[in-house]
Amino acid sequence: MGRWTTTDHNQNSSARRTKLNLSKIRTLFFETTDSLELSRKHRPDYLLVVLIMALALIGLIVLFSITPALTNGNDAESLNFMLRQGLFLTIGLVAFFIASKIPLDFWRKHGVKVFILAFFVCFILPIMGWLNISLARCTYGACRWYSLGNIGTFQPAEFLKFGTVLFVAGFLAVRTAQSKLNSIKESLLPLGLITFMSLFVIVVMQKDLGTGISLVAIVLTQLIIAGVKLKMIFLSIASLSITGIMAILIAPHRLARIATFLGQGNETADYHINQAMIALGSGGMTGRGLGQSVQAFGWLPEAIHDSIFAILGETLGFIGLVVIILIFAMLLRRIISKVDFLENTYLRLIVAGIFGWLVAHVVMNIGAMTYLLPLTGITLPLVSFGGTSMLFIMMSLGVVFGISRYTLHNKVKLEEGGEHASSVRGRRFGRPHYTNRSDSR
Amino acid sequence: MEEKSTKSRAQWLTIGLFLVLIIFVVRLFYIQVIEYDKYAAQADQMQISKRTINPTRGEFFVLDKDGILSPLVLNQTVYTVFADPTQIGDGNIEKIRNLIQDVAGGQAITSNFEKLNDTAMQYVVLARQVTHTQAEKIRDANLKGVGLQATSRRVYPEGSLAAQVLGFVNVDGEGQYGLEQFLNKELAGEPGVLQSVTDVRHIPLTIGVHDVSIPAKNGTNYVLSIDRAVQAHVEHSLADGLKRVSATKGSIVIMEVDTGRVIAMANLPSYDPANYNKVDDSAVFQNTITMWPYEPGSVIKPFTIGAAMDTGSIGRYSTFHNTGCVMVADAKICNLYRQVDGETIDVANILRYSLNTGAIWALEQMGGGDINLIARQRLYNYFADNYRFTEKTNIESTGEAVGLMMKPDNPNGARVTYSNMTFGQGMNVTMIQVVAAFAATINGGTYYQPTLILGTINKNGKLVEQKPKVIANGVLKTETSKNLKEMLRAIRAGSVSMSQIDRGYYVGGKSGTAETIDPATGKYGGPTIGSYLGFVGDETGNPKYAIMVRVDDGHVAAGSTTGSAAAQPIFDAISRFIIEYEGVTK
Repeated sequence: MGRWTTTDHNQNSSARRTKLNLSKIRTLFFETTDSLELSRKHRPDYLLVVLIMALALIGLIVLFSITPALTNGNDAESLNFMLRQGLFLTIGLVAFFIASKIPLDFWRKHGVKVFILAFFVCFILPIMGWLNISLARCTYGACRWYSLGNIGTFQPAEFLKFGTVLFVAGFLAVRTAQSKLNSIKESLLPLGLITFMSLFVIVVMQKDLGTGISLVAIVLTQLIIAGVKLKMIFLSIASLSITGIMAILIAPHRLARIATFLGQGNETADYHINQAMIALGSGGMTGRGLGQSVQAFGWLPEAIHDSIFAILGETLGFIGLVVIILIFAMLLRRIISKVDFLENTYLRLIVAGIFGWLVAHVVMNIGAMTYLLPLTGITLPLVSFGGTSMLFIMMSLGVVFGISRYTLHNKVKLEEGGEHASSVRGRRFGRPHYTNRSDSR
Repeated sequence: MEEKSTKSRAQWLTIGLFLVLIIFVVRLFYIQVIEYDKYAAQADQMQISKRTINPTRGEFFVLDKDGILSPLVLNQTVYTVFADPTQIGDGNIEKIRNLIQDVAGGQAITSNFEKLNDTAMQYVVLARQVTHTQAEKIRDANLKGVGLQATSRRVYPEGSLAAQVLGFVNVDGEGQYGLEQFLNKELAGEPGVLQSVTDVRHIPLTIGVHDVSIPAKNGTNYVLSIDRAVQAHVEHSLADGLKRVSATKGSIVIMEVDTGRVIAMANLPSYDPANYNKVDDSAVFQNTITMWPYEPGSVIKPFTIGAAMDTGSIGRYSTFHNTGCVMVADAKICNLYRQVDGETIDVANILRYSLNTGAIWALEQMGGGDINLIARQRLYNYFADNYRFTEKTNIESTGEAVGLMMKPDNPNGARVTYSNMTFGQGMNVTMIQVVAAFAATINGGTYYQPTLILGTINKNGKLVEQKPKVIANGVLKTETSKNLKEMLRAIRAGSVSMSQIDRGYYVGGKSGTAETIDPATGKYGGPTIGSYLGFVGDETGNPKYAIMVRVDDGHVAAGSTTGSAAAQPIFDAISRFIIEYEGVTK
């Protein structure tokens, strides 16, 4: 078998047709490259799993230590809380391994459909909210969750992030193959249009600036990795900034958060930030210790969701936070470094998008808690309590884990007669045939 | 070339990310390590709540004859009704007004109602001292922005009984006057402290190292030596007696001679301690018996005679020639009763006719026939050291005063002053000083600490009696004491009407009428103060109670003295009551 091949499209198939020509639209958005024809599978990057589990377990332990605060000391409820987060983590792990096993062709073929489904699910949520349909859960006029009764809630914005990663990766891979990557008309403008549509649904309709910024980060990272000219990237950032300012003007609560950040905010937002700072500061060098968090007892809003980082700081101290940041740094570096060992543009862009997504969450969350960035209400990946976030982030990481089987990195080892060669042999010869017979024993 | 550039882009992103993360770490170091003290202090200030647990103020009881403790002063929880105009909401003001007016009635502070519209305010008091029942009604109405605040107030089941003895508690919870002020520390108790880390609703948590829990120490509950029945009768008799002679002021104190316990202590005019704030003249708060020294007049003569007999200067049957008036230095001192001028008088009759010349004669005898320094020193020693007229009695009453007495070696008219002192002029004493000393002169010579406290109530609700405290023995020799009380009894027994009143019980006493200095002239000639000092005992010849009555500015018929005509009838009424009261129960 050969190496990864990217079958280029016939570039002049529809280029000179009129705007409304259906085949052009097809080419722009829906046409995919041929099968990735993956080969040379090698051992995946298990360190990814170790780092992911480290973060998830730290989150679980700290969450366990503060459950009395969340349930007024009710043991049964505390257990319930733990079981729920444990269940989320289990579902996340299942999603991780399923995603890692799904052939990468699957995502490439169906990425656009996933995106359209995610967009639709996001789009109808606020409309359902306005129509007072009970399926939509709204707080303070922002409808961001589907209420699924006993199962919990579902935040479609997380789904949209995943969909965006898949869609933009596919789109830019096609444009790259067509050598139209830097074409404003055929590449950046359509992409910009779709991004603005997503942003409109998320930022304006759902009033969720944090997710909006994540989407922008995903797309920007993918543009950068795709190799779009820096001039074009700056152009994109400029147009985004204008949109951002407009978004702020539309929703006053966002202005209030910015005002808080500049030290002149309203009481609610000021209070949240002050409490986060007190939680971090009172943690000191070594922290108050597990189960000793006081801020979790109602002082700090969103203690287990968006503010979990401050609770970690109060509980584990500066040293604990440095360790957590180090784990994040290792994980993120490990993810983005895959880009340089992947030949296939599509896979590179998938990894880049997921990297951008995680970075946006980590930076926005820690930045807000340390009063370096405005509060946007965004989770700390893998650590914050919450099912949807856990599910899609684990799923994305599963995709990265799957992709980590195909890096060129190991090819070098193969030539050196390294472990991959033996692992191929092992797979071929080492598989014990008698395992199948064991049933008939 | 292109491949290289994309690779470096990924690396650039990594570098950019790491720079941001390094900024976070530096920032966290600043917040968590450098500014730790600041945030730790903020956390403590916010998270640790320190609550003061108010102790219950001690209450006052009296022991009834049947051994049951009856309350004199109790605590009651009352409520202040307040509103927060910012929380009320527009349509509700009228509703609130009506409800408070209906439920609280007279306790409603209607003048504050218009402030309900003022949303600049957050605390408007709508009614004070609302009872529990009223508070329940207001609570049940569930009006938005209206709250109740529990406070404690003193209630007085016996009304104004013994008002000056008790004192009152002001709005700040501090005892004022009387026992309330004197025992304020013991009554107040000690507040407890509850300090703990709390959640956002200020519910204490079990985590943290700042937890402190000191329970409140409630104030001591006291049982007074006051006898409720006697006190009530005394106040009644005093009011009658004052009315009869149109007097402005009067006081009575009754003390058990063998324990120092005060069983009645009354002053008029009085006040209602529950409504102390409605009093115009704060003088009514004062306990005249302990706070106002005065020249008691002839009730001091038994003390002079006692001193002279005790020193052996005169005997019980010694006599002197009564000239009616004597010259001491340049002062002429006369008797009020002139029907026995020129007669030879024995000691008992000096007391019976209240002869000033006789008292001066007794002083002369103490100096071997002259009012010399020895005589004066001897009288001073008795008055100051034995009778303790120059010292506070330390009875449980705030602001106890102590009288004035000239030193015997004073070069400025000591002879005249000491002559006057023999019959209770030219010196100042309080009634409690006189009664406490009098008890010692008739009980065989033991000076007991006068007290208003019978004991305290322990945790089990049982009375723990306070033992009578002996301050001094040998105030007078036993023999002198016996002679003195017999003479004082003889004065009353000699009169037909008195013997009928006393019905063979052992009752004795001596009246006194003191001249006061007229503020207009600066000389004697102001309104007189009539006093009566006596005792009541049983048939066995043992005085049980020392009683002193004082009437200020009584109006009596010409030729009568306020001592015998204004104060003595009150003593008679009281002694009669006590005889009956004790007689019935004995």
